[in-house]
Amino acid sequence: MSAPTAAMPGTHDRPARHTQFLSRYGTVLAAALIFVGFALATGKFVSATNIANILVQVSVLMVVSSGLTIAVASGEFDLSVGEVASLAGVLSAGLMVWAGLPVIIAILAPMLVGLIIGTISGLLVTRLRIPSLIATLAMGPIALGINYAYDGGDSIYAAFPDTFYYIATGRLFGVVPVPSVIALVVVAVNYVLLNRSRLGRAIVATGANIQAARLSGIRVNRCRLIALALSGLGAAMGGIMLTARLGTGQPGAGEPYLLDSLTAVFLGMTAFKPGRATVQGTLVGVVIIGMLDNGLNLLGAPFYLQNEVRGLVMIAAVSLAVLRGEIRFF
Amino acid sequence: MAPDRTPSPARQERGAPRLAARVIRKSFAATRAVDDVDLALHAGEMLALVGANGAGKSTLVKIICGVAPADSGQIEIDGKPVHLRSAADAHAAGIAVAHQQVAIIPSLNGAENIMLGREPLRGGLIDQRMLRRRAQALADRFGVAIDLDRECGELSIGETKILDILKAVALDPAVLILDEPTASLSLAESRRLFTFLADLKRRGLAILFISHHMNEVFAHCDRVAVMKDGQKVFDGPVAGTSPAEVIRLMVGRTIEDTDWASHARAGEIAVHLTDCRVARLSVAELIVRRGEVVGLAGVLGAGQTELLERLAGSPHPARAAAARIGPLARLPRSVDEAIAAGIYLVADNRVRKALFPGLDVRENLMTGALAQLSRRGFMREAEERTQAKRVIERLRVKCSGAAQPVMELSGGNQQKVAFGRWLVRMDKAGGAPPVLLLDNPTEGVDVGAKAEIYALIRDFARAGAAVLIASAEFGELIGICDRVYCISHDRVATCVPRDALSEERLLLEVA
Ligand SMILES: Nc1ncnc2c1ncn2[C@@H]1O[C@H](COP(=O)(O)OP(=O)(O)OP(=O)(O)O)[C@@H](O)[C@H]1O
Ligand SMILES: [Mg+2]
Repeated sequence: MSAPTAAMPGTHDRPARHTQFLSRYGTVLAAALIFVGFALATGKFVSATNIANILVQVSVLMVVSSGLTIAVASGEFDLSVGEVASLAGVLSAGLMVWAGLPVIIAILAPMLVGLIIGTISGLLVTRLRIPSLIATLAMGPIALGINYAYDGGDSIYAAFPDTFYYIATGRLFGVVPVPSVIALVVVAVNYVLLNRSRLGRAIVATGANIQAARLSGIRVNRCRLIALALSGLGAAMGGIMLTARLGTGQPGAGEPYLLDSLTAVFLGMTAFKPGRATVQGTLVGVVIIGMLDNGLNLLGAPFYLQNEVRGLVMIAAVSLAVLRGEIRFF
Repeated sequence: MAPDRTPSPARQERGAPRLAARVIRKSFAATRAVDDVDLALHAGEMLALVGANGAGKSTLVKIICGVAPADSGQIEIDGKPVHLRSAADAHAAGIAVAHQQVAIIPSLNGAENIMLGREPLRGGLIDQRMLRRRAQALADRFGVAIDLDRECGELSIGETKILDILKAVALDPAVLILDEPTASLSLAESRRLFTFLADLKRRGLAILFISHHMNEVFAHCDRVAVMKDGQKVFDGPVAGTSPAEVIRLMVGRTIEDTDWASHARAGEIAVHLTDCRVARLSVAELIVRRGEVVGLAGVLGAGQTELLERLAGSPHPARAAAARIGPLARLPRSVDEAIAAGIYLVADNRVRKALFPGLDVRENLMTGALAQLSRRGFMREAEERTQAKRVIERLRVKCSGAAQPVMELSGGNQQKVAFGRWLVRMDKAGGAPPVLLLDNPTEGVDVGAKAEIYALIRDFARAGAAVLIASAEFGELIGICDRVYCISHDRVATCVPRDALSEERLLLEVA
């Protein structure tokens, strides 16, 4: 059940403060513990290069997850983010290599495609009243079909213009990795959107109680549509960044990002504001996933262990949150 | 938002009404929920809309405020027809509604909820400081002392209701519609609400007030409109009619006060708690004898819900020096155990805790007695049907039939279904007289159905059941209880005997 609903004025601050602290910052604490654990296990983990490495590695996931966070905050799911990311990735490669278009078009056009796919999902949800879980589950394969139609299922190898690689390997002021900058900007924009803008407030209200939001004069369908469109946009941006990092347009590159971003969002829902999808929470989730992958790699753990550990962390975080009775998923 | 509307109430009264609904009609499949209803509401006037459960009051309100389309008919504001297609349209036309179900977002705080959808902006972003200030100014104007920085999920039901009303008032409407606002308010809170409604009325607001409480209607409203089966059967000044007459119009018969007699069986204690603590609420001693109806008075959210739920086996943290409940010599370990021991709870918040929204009336009624109604794992259809029919008749549940989805019923009828589940169970399980735990069992139930439920409760008591009933509606406790325990400051303190019961006394005790 949701947070205690029965407190009377003046008596509410009785429940022990430390449990509340734990329930809000438990996941952050876990992230810190994981960091310390790996730091103690291997000296390489805390080196500046490795930390920069982690930040670069998680940037794509962060961008994809940010979009998904908005969808989840509005009460919807987006199961098409992986396929949308793939499609955007190969599109941007193809537009540069095959069509010879300038880099800026090869970035903006796939973003537009992501936005359009998200909008279509949104229309399916709001006009045809298909649950988003199903609508986006259907849009995924459709995006994949377009992807295959475009590239015949083959990767697009070729040298991209140097400016394109800048979004993956560039350094701002010669030090800060550009992908991390992009990710942080996306996080910041989403944070402001969800916490400080009227649209964001409406999206959060819609996700929390759609009936109440509607009765409050909020245009709930517009909120859901925009949220899903933004989720598509985030996925497309992630896919483009991925192509720049990989140096090729691979038709299946985005696929793993669906489960990873869902994991990040759910982990995030156990942090800060229990039970709610927040960008800051998702950031913590993404960082946890990034540290686990990187740290286990450094330790030379077999590849399958990464999956095991990620699953276990997810179970641990969510069950702790649920046990504390502070959280309700959907 | 609504443009200029400052004309004197007196002139408005004679001109076009602020709000007029003309020949509104709305059907759901076979039910005609609203049947050619005309309603006019003038500035500076408070109109009561009353009617039995399912009479169509809420449906009419939803049409007036744009959330449900009418099949035919027309809404006029100041004599001009308007087309309202959403709550936002209604807000723009100057109509604000606090619905029967609160529209409060639990994860936002009080200030954010009051200003939801109309947040003040600065540079395109929400101006949090300004938002807080405006909400606070509004709360201060109406003497609301709720901490607006707290997330609404942590507030009591009464507090969220008050915020919901504030939220409607914050729209600065010309027409304010309140759908059963007092159903979840304590007596003290209701009284405060009426003072501030009177203030709004003086400023020229037109108020439509829906309630099942005749005393509120006759004490505070200027005019009363009665709905029955979708039709308006009366509309006139309260001075020209009487509560008894209105009730007769509503339910089609008169309701007489039955003679009250105690059925308490002196030596037979069914519930006995000593030095017990459930969640925040401590109980020095609480006794319910067989045949007794014992009340628990307190504002909503004072801990009575947790206490009753714990007695019915829910896992709220609790300890007790000694506890006896029904055949158990301790608090029940699980709901299963409690039910098997004949301890039945009718929970508050029926939609969340007592009903199965996806199921129909019959399926809902059977959920309490699945084992008794099945043979070798298969449900006995015929038996189910007769049981459903019996309960629907006995409680006068207004539905198109046992196969109607329960969420389509009006609020009061849903409550009857929640109650009816245990009727089926008791009928099938037999055994010793049960312990009945009732948490605000008549919330949103009309006078007619209330009288039936009270009679039902008294019947159970006569048959030897021990009844513990929590209610924020003191009139109801006074009407049916042998004794009433009062909750004050997290403690079940005094126990008021029947001959000392009065609203004023209870109000003092729960302060
Ligand atoms: N969505 C719906 N689908 C089918 N029937 C409905 C629906 N909403 C309401 N009804 C029916 O319309 C009638 C009027 O219901 P309404 O909720 O307006 O009653 P009410 O007067 O507000 O009752 P209460 O006092 O119990 O709140 C009822 O018979 C109800 O079953
Ligand atoms: Mg109603």
